[in-house]
Amino acid sequence: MEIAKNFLLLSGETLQIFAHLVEKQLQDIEKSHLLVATLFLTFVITLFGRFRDARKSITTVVKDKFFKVVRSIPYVQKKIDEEIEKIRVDLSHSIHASDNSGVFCSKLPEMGMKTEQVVEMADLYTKMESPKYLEGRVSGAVFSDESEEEMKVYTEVFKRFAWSNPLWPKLFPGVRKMEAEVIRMCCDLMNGGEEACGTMSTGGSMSIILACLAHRNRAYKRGVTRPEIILPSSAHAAFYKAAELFCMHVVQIPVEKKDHKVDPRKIKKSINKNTAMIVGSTPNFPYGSMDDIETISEIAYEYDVPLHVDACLGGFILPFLNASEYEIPKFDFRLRGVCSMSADTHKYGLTPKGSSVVLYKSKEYLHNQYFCHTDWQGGIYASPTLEGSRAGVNIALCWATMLYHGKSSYEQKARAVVDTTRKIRDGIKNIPEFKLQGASDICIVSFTSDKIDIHRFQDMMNRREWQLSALQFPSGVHLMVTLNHTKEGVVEEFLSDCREVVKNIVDNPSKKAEGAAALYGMAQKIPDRSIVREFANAYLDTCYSEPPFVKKTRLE
Amino acid sequence: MAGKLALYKDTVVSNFWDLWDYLNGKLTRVNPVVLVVASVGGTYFLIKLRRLLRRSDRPIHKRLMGYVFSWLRCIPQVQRKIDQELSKTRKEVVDSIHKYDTERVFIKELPYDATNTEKILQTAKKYEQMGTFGVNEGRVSGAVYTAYQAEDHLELLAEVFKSYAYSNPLHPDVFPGCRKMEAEVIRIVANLYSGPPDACGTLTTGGTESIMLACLAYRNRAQARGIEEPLMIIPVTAHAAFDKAAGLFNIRVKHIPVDKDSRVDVNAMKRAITRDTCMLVGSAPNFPTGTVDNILAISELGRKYKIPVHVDCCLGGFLVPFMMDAGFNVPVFDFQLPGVTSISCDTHKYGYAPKGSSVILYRSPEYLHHQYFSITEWPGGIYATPTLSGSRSGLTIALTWATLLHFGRNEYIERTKKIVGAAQKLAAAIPKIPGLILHGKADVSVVAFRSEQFNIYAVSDKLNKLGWNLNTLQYPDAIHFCLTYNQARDEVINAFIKDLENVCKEIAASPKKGNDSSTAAIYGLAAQIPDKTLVEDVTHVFLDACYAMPEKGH
Repeated sequence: MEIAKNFLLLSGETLQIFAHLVEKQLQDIEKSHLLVATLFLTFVITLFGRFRDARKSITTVVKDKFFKVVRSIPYVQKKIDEEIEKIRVDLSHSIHASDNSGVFCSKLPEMGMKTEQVVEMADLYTKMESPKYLEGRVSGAVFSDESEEEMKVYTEVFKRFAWSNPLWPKLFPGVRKMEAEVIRMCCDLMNGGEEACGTMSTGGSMSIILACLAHRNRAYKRGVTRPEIILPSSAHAAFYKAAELFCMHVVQIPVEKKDHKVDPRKIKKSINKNTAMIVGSTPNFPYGSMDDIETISEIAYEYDVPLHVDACLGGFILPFLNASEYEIPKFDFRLRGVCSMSADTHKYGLTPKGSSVVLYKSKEYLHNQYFCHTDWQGGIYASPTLEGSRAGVNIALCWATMLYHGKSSYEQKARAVVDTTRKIRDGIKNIPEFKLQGASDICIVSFTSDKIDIHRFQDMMNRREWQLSALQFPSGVHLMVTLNHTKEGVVEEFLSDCREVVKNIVDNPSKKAEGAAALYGMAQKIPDRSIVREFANAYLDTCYSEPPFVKKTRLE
Repeated sequence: MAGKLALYKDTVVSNFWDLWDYLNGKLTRVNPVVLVVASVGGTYFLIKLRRLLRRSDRPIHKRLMGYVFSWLRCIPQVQRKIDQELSKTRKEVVDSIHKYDTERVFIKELPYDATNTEKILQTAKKYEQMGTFGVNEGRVSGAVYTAYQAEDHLELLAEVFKSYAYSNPLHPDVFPGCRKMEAEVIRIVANLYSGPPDACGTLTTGGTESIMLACLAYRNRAQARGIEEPLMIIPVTAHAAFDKAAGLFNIRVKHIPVDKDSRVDVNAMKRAITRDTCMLVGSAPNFPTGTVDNILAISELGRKYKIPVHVDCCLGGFLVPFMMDAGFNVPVFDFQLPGVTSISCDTHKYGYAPKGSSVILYRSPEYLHHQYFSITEWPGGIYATPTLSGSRSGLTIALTWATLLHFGRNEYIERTKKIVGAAQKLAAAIPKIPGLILHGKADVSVVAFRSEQFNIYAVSDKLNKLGWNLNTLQYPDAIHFCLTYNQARDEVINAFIKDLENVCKEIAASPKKGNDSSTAAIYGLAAQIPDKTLVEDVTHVFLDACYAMPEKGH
């Protein structure tokens, strides 16, 4: 008590002496000068503060400006435009390569087409040559084997719920209930208690975006003005998307080289008063490795920062594995720091595309995701997710899928996927040219090479109708294992093709990669990322463009 | 002249120095420390105040009241009282949502064994039949826009479903078919809206997403041009999705009032334009009253000040383009107007596609590119997506595509004739009913009405008991009927007018003039509470109830 009193007195005195000193110093300056100088300084400091608030680092800003200046030189601009045009032509060719139908509808037909005509045309489009994903040739994309019996159930459910819309719970009480049931079942799978809650969404990106939104709004409510996400570099692109949408700052933590997991100590060091959320993945998309959620959870709990576990990929595998047999650490709501989770029902949950769930530990978090507009002329308006009207049919299909399979079937399928993954991993390990990235022990086998050109490997595998996903920084490829890869003979064929292709490359070391894989190799070397961004724009534009033959016929 | 100017200059300069000396004289007596602290503090305060004022366009006294009220909630007695009220509301809300669930059997765990096909389909059927409103009989405003179970259409959709259930345009190389279908749908709709050859766009999951994407594109565009705190200018009648986008993407909003016909006041809109303005919005038609804004004037404003104009055609997206051919008058609202830079249009409303599809169109790729998201340094590859989603349901695209081709231009025109015709018939009947006033102009398919003699919400509640489901509006109190193909029949419209007449007569005769109805109570209360977070709490109760287990669940 005495000490505190003395301390107060002392600090009061110090302050007085200090003020006196300042007063003396300032005595001689003309007051109006003082006033103007202070105002000016405050203004400058505020400006600087705003600069700090900008979401880009100063180095990025300088770099961007530099490249912008360089690009404004006409010669450079011309060269770049030529390159982009070349890539545009390439992309257009590869996107439209499979389209040999010779038709493109650009206008509503005057008279409606008969059912058979439309179906015939749809079939024509379906048959456009494409990689055979049901034969296990494609990484990810379709996770179900689309068995006939299953499709029969879904078609019936589709017919009943095609027009349903949970925006109107009183008009469509059934679909409302189905969503509530799906959420409850998922909460139960993730060991969430009675308090756990959540909503369905249209996909993994949406679930992630919603969680980021909820945690951002929570931070805003607590007075944070520039919320930050602490993000392992391996986290899904949707987090970067959310950050851009919702004006959040990404604090990126590079993953460790040895196991491609994030180091929890680095996360701890990055936490500050602006931290709105921490992210961990189970497993992550590029490397298929699981972050150490147990340790991160404790850190998050200690600092009272919400931890989001992105289980979009593992959400319908991990809960169904025998934890001790498969060495799966805890990753769900059993850990006290985990506040939200995302899990894709349309991946290993095996439902048709367009459904995922985002779950929260308690309503307190979920309420930050809800949107309501109390003053709208169209009535008091409330919606749980980003959409207003939602497709009830996605909910109904998800509900039907979960019941159709049941725990036993998911368990058996999860084991099959993980066993297949580990079998492929062992095969890749035995090819001396390859280097695994991360443990590759759940549903993704991720590898790179410092001995051969991995882009060329991908390109040549593509020619053998194996579609792998390209990774960058460092260059690599991965195979996301689906139910279709668990079919008999697929693993053996894949590995033997890998070995043959590698041998081929080793025998002809001088040849270069072609096509999209080559583009990847090139894109990584471009320092001005805004050019790569233009490639991306060109790619998306091409997806929406008319096939070249349309222009040709128009000219004729 | 020059001498005069010099003289003028001299006076100004000498006046300035006089003022300067005067200021110095005044300030000599002030302690310099106080001066420094006060000017820093003052500037800081002013900056904070400006930020606070700019954050929202709600009148300052209302915001202050809300603020005071939210502090009042910290008082335990007040909080306890509110909690009591809320738990009462919660019970009512839960009951109203769960009353359709008569069996109260709730699946809360994934069953261990596979459920057999028969059982799943049986349960699904039971769930579907929980709904009690006669959608097919035309009893419901909006929600389902085509005949609920039209056999041949549904048969076609089911066929398409079988081939496209798992398709996903995120992988155009794996699913070239649904990629192409999306490109075609965009071209078809762009042509409906007189899009120039450069017109482009994307398919989305619904009107809200289309609107949000447009707002996002314009925010990004403004930021790329150095505007740090973009502002969007929207009519008060614009869809709630604009305010949603504003909250999500940190865009400031200025709401512009409407005139007596419920069209946005273009002069007020002009006055609201600042150098921070990133977009102007008009609706064709708006959701509350179904009135088409003066898009021509808004387009001119946009052109004059070089600000993008978004036209929201979500609701009437597949009616307005056909109205001319169907023999109705409609002013120009599409890309023919040079100022219009984007249009949102719902294919899942009057386009008659199943729920989950809408279109956002832009005049040129320059705007669309601001909507695209790409991350070039992601270890998982160069990642680029056109909309908010990553994976998307290719099925929705295929269903929309099939529906457009199946209906064809003629069928859309036929249906537009019937639906807009029915709306005009109803709109003509409203003023003839004693006590009712037509709200807005009912330009397309929505007919809104209000009353100055009794509480209009009571009308909605009573009609609800008779099996009619209408939408409630506020500011002013009103209700509307959004006519779909299910109402486009004389017998439905006549039956509705008859019921409406009776209900109005009954309420006008009642002593409380309908002020005791339950909807009237909710809206009355919400309008009185200055603290909007409390109303938000009530909406949270509503949304939570949708996900709740029924009370007698096992």
